[in-house]
Amino acid sequence: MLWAAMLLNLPSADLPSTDALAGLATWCLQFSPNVAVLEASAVVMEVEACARLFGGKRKLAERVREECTGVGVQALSWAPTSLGAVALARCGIRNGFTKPLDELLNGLPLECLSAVQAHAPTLARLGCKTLGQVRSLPRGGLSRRFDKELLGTLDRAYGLQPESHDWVSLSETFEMKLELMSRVEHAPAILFGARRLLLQLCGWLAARRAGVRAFTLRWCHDAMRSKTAGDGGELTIRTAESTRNVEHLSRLLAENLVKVQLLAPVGDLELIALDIETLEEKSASFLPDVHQTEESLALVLERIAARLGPERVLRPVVNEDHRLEWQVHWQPTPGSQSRKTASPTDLPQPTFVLPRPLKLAVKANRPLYQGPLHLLSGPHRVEGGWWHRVKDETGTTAQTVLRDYWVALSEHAGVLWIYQTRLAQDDTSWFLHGVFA
Amino acid sequence: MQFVAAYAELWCLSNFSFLRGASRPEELVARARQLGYTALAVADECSMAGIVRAHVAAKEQGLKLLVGSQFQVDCESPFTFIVLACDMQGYGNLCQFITRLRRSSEKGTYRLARDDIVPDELSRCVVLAAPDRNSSTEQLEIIARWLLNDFTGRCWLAVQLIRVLGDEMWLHRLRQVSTLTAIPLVAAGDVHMHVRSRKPLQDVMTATRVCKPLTECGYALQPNAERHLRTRLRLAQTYPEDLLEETLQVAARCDFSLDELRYQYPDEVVPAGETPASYLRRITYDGAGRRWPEGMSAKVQTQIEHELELIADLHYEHYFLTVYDIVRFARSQHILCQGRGSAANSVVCFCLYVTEVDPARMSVLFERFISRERNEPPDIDIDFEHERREEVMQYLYNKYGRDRAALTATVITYRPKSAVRDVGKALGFSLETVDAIAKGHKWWDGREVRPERLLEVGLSVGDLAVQQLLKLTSELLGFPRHLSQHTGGFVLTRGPLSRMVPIENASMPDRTVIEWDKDDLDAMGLLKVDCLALGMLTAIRKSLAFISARKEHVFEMQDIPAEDADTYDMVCKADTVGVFQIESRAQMSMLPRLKPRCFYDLVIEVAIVRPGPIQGGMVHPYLNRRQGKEAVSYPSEALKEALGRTLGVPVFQEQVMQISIVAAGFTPGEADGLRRSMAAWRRKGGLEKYYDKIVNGMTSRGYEESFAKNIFEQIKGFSEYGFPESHAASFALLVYASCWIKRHHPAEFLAAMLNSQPMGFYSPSQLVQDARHHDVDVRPVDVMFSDVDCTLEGLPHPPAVRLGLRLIDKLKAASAERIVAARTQAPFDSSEDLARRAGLELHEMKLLAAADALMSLSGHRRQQVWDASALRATPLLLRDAPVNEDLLELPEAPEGEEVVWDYASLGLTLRSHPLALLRPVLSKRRLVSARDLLDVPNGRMVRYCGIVTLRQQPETANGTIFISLEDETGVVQVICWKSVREVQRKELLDSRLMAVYGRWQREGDVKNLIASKLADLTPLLGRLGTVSRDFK
Repeated sequence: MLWAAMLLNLPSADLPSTDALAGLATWCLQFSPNVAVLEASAVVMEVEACARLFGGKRKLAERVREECTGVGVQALSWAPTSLGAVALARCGIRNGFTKPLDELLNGLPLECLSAVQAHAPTLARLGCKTLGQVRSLPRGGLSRRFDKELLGTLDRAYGLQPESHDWVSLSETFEMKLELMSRVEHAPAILFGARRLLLQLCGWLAARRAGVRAFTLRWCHDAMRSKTAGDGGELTIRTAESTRNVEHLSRLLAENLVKVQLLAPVGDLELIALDIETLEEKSASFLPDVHQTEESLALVLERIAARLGPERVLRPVVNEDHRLEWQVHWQPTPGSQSRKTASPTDLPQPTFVLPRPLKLAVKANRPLYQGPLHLLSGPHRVEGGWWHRVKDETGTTAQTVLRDYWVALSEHAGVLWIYQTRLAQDDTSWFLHGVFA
Repeated sequence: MQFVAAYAELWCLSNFSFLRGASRPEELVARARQLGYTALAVADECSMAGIVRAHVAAKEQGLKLLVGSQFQVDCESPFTFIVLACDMQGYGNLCQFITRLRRSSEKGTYRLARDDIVPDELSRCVVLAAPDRNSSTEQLEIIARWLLNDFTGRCWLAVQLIRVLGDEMWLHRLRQVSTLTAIPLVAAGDVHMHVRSRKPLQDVMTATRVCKPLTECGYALQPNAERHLRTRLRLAQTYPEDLLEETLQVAARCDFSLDELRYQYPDEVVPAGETPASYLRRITYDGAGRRWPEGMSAKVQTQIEHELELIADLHYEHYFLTVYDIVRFARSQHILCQGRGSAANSVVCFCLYVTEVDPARMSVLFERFISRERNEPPDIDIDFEHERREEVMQYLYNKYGRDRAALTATVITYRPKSAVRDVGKALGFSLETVDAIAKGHKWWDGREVRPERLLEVGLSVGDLAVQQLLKLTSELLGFPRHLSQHTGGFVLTRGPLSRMVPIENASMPDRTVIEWDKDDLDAMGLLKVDCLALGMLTAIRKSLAFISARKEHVFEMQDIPAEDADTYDMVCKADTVGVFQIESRAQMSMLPRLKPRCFYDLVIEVAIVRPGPIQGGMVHPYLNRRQGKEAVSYPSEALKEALGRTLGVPVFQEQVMQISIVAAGFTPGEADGLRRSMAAWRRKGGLEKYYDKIVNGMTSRGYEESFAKNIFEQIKGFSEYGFPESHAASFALLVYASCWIKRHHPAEFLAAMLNSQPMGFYSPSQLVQDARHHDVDVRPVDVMFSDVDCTLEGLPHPPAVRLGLRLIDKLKAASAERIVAARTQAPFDSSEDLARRAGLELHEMKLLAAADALMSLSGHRRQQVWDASALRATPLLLRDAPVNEDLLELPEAPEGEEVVWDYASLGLTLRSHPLALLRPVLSKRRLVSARDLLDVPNGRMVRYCGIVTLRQQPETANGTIFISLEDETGVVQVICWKSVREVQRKELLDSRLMAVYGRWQREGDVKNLIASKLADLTPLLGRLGTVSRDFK
């Protein structure tokens, strides 16, 4: 058996995330189907049987060594057992074939196998510093004193007992490649091939009872491209709600592909499901229910946004803020919608708010707007926003306001929401901010 | 201004309504006065915590203060309920009402429903209701009718107009309700801050309260800053005249001042048929009979009569009897205690067994302690064994009841760390950044937040957000955050205490706390008895028990022979590791210079190494005079009497007070005011006003200006840690007792110290090292010999100390007790026997083996671990099946390994010192040992390395850090100046094994290493775990 063990390069001493391990395991799957995650920190693979596909053990080992640094592998060791390889990797010994395995392992410290590490405080007090010293204790005594994992792990690492593994299977993530039948020069034509990938994706999602929220389509340029064109391109598509509707996904893809300019003919496609989540089962009811219609509105909005650009479709969000211009602001749809609704203020609100308050002329200390204004009700003082900092080219400024609002009546313009604020040098000034219907 | 309508603010809260009010009570009072308010009501939310401060400020400013409280009433028509006390009785009612609400809910909270308000409970109070703005007309009517029904003639509807759109409408609606029910309207401001510029701080508090950043607070923030003390002009523009006029009517109804509170001592301390004076006289003479069985001297006799007369004149009998009662209880329970304080060191207290300070030893001190002129309240703090103080506290609660006895509060205020944290969170800094700023603030940065620290975590000082952070943090510093309990100050009263001040629950079970802290009590003339916990008393009591066992007769504190020359010899050599008070670095370096030879020298020694004398520059003059390098002279003939006993140098707080009277012309009353300001200066400030008076007063009377300035510095120093002679005397007694025990019974001393841990300055390891240097035989922990506590073996010969099972890390006390209990039945014959009979689990057996405690059963540690780990529970069926395991002979571990495991389990080793094992490596690096340094002449550059056992930065040391390094031959004291610590902060803080390159300084017996460069050699320690104790 020829085992490779790989440890990830980590900034801290913590265990690597399962995602990072899964990523590494997926990468390993290109060499061998026998890939497993061991001790929650290492990825091991067995390549004895498949080495010939890569031109022999030596070539394979070289290739793995060269390429593995690119996926963040920090230590790589080869040994006849997987646990042995992991232990060696942890101690920075690369080749486990230079000496008999037990000789190599005997000299390693207790920390290199987690089942042994668990008993390190006790073992250390028995005078053991290395695996060899542990094994030299009487076997019967060890099995009586420690859990079966200790001896079991040691035996498996030394190759005295067969190892068994939970193999990593491919279906955990979706990444599929496709070679196109012929070179494609126009982006919309990619859709033909991409649709086949989408079909596979949807089948895969259906089996997992999942939907996709985001996926990436990558295309690789044909080998005979000009140097400026680069390797290819990619397009990431996000949906507001997870779905596995082929038609919907294809339509989104088509609408986005229209805007893509291919720099060179494309040979290969790759589809990656980025964001997968379990999908609620829809009721099979004959009549469309309320949820269904809402869903279709969201779909429609999405399509419009895909066509016109996401920044063109905005929706209002109500904020809790005493300052009128910040009470409502517009957000691009489709974004994740916050379910939290702001409680409305109990003040009368103008129906129309000016995007920018309009400075009013003053005559005899009375504001003018299409004639003199008659102050009906007020003042309503709003003060705050010192904590609201906005960065622009001139630096950071606080959006502090200090205003006395009034409801004013104009002969021509109706009921207005105006305010008086203090400017520099004790000067005050009137502004029109909103109009009541 | 005089044409503007008068106004009294009736609805105002201070920052003692935590996380709501953004101004201190003093600021509110001062501002109200400045604006010409007729009166100001400080009504904190369900609390009286800030009222004393407001009262004191109002008295100073000459403003009428209304005392009250406000409540949020939680019912179908919610409103704010403001209650103001009309007179003494009303105040008592209100306090009791608050107490009821507070005691029936968790600490810091209360709940009030309208049905809970019983009108009679709040008699002699006027009430205001401020309905919620969103109330419907029906709700308003419900509130108004309820008011009318329950509080006829003493209720108002508060109209709060804060410059928002609905103001006019709201006033109109309230007018309607008023017409309907005849309840008068009154103007009120719902004041949260004294000036509008506090609004940002108020916003931050709101954000902290709702636990959100400011940007998400929304309508939780107040829409504008109108809830401040507005000018009367603005008020006159806002409110109709009749509403303003009505505020004066309400204010006129309240005629109560906190000055009316009169404190009365509990009277059950006097038995029936006796007057306080006769009873005190009787028990004093009873005690005198026991103190002087062969009869007291005429001098003592006159002193007792003099003191009793003074006590009677000042009506302090109850106080002495209260203290006597507590002490009597403690003695009946064999709890060692000792009184200290201005009144404690009197013959009367000696006769009452409150103190052991014998007047024969202390004749020089008497008379000064209670003084008619100084008008100080009697002050007796009682220290109890720290492990048993709770018994005393529960005795007090039981004896006087929860409504007459409670602990004093301590106001927990915002410190830089907490202030940065709360402001940072509110301003939306990420949690990591806030934590980094707060954490980067190490213990020596002083009280202010430093801009440099912000740079360290990558924030620029110019940034707007950072500027806001700095500004608001400095505003928030010192604001009260919540109430906590004082360490042991009890207030006991004759009548219900809850009618004087509200009582709350403390976070500790079975504790109740009043809402005032000790400054408040001082200002109000309430007396408290401090029941403090003192670890050294535990250690002394345990030592005395060991000594009694060895001598086979009872040996008590008073049996310790006085003025023992051997003990003073030891003290002069600074051989004082572990003893009381004079064990610290600074004290130990002072001992060889001061060379105490009598009890009074110890009193001075205890008092002189304190911020007061140090900041006043009095230490060196005193030492020089003592060593004869400088002639004893007095600043004036008049001061000779005051300063005679300290060679003309003021050392004690009392002396400084006397100087202020004699030399600066203070009246006794002013001197007392100065003393109070001293006690509270750190928290409140206010000492500056005395500066001119002292310096000018002294220079005009012909004293040198530098002397006067030094006196003032000393006064400031005393306020950091007020330490009067009376306390020093009581402490010196414990110093002497602990030194005597250490000198003559080192083994008993060690065992008692180890059994009283955690306490004191030194770790068990250091104590054991020190005892072994004094030839004490210390024996290892062993299940066959050790008790739970450390014990003495080989009595009555010079005993050996057997370490107790309590030293074993993680071993539960109950398991240790089972081991001892099982062993008393029959000795163990094997580890298995031990495990079975003591009911020990596998992991506990492993703990014992790891501590090398199974030595007698299994041999060396590896063998113990091997045997112990075999004892895992077998299935029931196999339990009796024989295990035929071959005996395994493990090789013994090398010493280095054993030392590592000793430290890991016990925190100490009885084998070689770790550095003895590292010595070859260290020698190669040319690092010398402590013993080598003994002969090095002054001024030579040396290289030294040791384990860091202590880091200390006294506040008086101007940024200098003292480090103690230990090796196998002794301890070396390192002084690290500010310049070094700023460059080598990391080495200084993180090293466990530290190498120091620097200059060796010796001056007589005082030796220090002045560091010029540090190096962290911690990796050499390998797996060895050591701990340093860091003090400020």
